Formats: sequence, C-alpha cells, structure tokens
Amino acid sequence: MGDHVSHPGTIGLTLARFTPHERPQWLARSAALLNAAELGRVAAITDPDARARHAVGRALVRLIGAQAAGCGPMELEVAVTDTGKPWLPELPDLHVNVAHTLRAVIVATASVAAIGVDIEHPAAATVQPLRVAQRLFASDEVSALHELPEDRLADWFTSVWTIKEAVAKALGSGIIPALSEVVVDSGDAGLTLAAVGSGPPAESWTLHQLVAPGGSEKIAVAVPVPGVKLAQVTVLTLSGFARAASGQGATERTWSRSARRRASR
Amino acid sequence: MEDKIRDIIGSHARLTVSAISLPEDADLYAAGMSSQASVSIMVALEDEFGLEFPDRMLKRSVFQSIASIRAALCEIQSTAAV
Repeated sequence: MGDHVSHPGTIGLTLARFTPHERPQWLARSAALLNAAELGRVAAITDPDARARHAVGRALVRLIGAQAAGCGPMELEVAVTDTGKPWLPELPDLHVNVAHTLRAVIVATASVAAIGVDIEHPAAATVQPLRVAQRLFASDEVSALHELPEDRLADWFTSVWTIKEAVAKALGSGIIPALSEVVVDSGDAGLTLAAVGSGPPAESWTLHQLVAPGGSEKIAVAVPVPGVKLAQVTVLTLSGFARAASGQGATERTWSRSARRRASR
Repeated sequence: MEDKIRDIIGSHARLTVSAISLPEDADLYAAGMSSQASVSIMVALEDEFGLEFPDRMLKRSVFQSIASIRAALCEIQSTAAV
C-alpha cells in the first residue's frame, strides 16, 4: 500500500478507480473491512456508484492507517468529524482525507499538517461554470474565465474547483464559503493560490495539481505548510486492492512524472 | 415551487434517478449529488426565483433534499416580504 509510512515528510496519494462491472466486487471487498457504523452509512447511500466509492474510501483509510499502525484494518480506530470525515485518533501524525468523483476514489495522507484533497472529473462539472464563477468566485478569477475559449471553460473550472475544495478540506471549512475566500491566480506559472481567506497565508501552503493516472480526473491536494513533496501516486487495481484487503500486500503501479506534465499543460 | 425545484435538480444534480420521482425528503447526496452539483443547483435556484441565499444558508444541509431547499426558499421569500 504505497509509501505513506516510509516517507513521513511527503504527501501520499492512493487512487482507486472501478468500472461498473467491477463495482460489486470493490463494494464487497471494502465492506468486509468496515464496522457496523460504517456499513450503516454505506447502506444509506442510494446511488450505486456513490455507495461503492464511499465504501472504498473508508476501506482505503483503514488499510492505510493499519499499515502505519502495524495492526489489522479492522482493529484500527477510525473516528468521524461532525461533517462525517474520517480521522485516526491512534495516529495523530497521520492526517488523511478522502475525495471521490464518478467511479474514482482518492485518499491523501500527510504527517506535517491536516491535508485536503479533491478529485473531479471534467465530465461531472457544473453545466454553468461561468454563472457559478460569477456568483461565487473572485473578480480576477471571473476575468480569467472570460478570456478562455469555450472549449476550455469546463477544464479550467474543474481545476480551480479542485484547488478551492482541497484547501477548504484542509482547513475543515465549508466548500461554499471557500469558493469565495480561496482565490486562485491563473498566471504564467499555471494555477497558484493567491488568497486563502481566514486560513494561513497563501504563500505558506503547498499545493499540488495532477491528472489522475489512467484517466482524466483533475486532482488537487493542499497542506498549510510550504515545500511538502508529493510522493509517487499509488494506483490500486481490483486485484491489488483484494490482496491488500486480505493482508497479502498490494500489487500497485506508481506514477507521477507523466501525469504532472499533463496537468501542467 | 416544488416542480421548479425538481426541474432544477433534474438539470443540475446529475443523478441517475429521475428528480420527478424523488421523495421530497430523499437525501440528494445519498442519491449521488456532488458538492459541485449542489452549488450549481444553488445558483440555478437563485436565478429561477430571483433571490439570493444569505451566507448563513450556504451550507450542505440546506441543499440536502427537496424539502430542505423548499424550506430555505420559503424562508428567504418570507423575510423579503416583510
């Protein structure tokens, strides 16, 4: 399961993506790792993809936490915040955050500070990016959006959204206020943080943006500490996940450089 | 009002089930609505009803169901009518 433990100073990302055909197996393998309360939350989700990705996210948190704690995934204590986000009381130096879109789930980890991650598929972007930006984004962001050709609107909006949501999740704040308070600059250096509202100043954050390996989802991950490196992304296949879930270790593909190049274009 | 709310949910929430058949207290997030879709719905509601959600209503629970959305809209409209 990746290298979350061996490189405590870095950000770890673990990605799982399932097809509709694989969905029942991902759900079943994940459910086998969850406790009764977690299973209750899974059962309350009526959409099949949403149910599976929630279960997979919680299962990944257990697997990653268990690896760090040196225990079995079912033995790990996983608490949830008032807003339903998981955290690990036994591992105060392992911050986790989960995000999902369509049929992809990502878990981010960091030891240095609370971490936020978001993943969004451009195909799932709002049907009215310009209108949402006009209502909630900063004027400079709306100006940048106006300068884009129409076929790039969804892509830009998705990237900017992931940054704002990742920062909001690191701060533990609501996403809608963060859409206004977190400001993204679209300069020559790509998308960078310009302001973070009531949080630590923009220059003190580490922000990484990438495209999900093997897909087109945009990912942003943020921590309120400068200079934190991104470790290789761990991509779990169904068979690798099944092996990890059964305690036999995962077969994984790691990836970083090629997708970072794609993300920076 | 409820028909318009359902129309907007159908256009913006990207659910796999029909917004017309959703129970009014059904959890839209459990039905697959993303945070981005909820914001899209919020803006579409503002445009449709000619109002603006105050900051205190810009939270997840307000957009959780048809019933919660309708309650918020009614509250905004009644406040504006005073």
